[in-house]
Amino acid sequence: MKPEVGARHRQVVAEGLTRTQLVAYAGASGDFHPFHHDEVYATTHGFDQLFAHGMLTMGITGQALVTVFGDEGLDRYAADFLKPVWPGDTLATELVVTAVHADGSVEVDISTTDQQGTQVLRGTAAGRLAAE
Amino acid sequence: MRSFQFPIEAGHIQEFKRAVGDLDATFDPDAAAPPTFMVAADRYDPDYDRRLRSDRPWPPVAPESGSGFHAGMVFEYHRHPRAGEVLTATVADGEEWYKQGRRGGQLRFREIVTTFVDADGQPCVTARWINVRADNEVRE
Repeated sequence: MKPEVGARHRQVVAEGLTRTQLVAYAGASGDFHPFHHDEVYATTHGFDQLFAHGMLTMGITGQALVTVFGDEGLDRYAADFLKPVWPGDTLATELVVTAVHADGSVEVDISTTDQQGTQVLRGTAAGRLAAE
Repeated sequence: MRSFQFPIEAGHIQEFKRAVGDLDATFDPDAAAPPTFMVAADRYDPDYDRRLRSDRPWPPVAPESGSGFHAGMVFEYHRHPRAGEVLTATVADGEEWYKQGRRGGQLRFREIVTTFVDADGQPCVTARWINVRADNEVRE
């Protein structure tokens, strides 16, 4: 992605999210809230099925940030969780440069949508882009 | 406020990368922590309650108890920690604010701020967990 206002990067970050991935995230993060791995618990508490941790959606979205900022280029990453993400969902993240500063750092808007185009996460990030 | 140590382990980074979709991540003894890795410090927090514990029933908090839900997250990176470091995490209450909800009621937003510093006491990452719940739950 070029350091120009309006430059865009789009990346499919999850294809058919699996329950196994939710369990893997529970183990890696330590967050074993039953909403995210216990179908019976989730349906008993008013949901159609179990759903992804908001932090899993943010982590998955982070793959697109690593693509453009590299492993150590980020100064800030913020996200709001707008809608639940369900097993089977395919997610795509789009980054749009909104500001370029004199020191070479940039700011981007972040939007992650599911296969129906519903925005599930919105956010912002800032840092230095990795060399292309 | 509470503090605990968070060892940044290469195997944990590999496990975390795979969990967020980098399915073929390999072991790298010098790996940098991925963008949201600091949330995994919860594994080392003795007071963390989203895990099985001998002193509490499971699950610890039912939704109807009004605990709210995780609405957002902010990470500020002073630098990116690498495998082999041991950070100290300090958890404290942050800001609190209110917004009008779409259905007419008030929503209360509350931050929980975790500050990570390195072995020299220098800041690495600040993480802000934002929780929201309906005002009628707050007043109970």
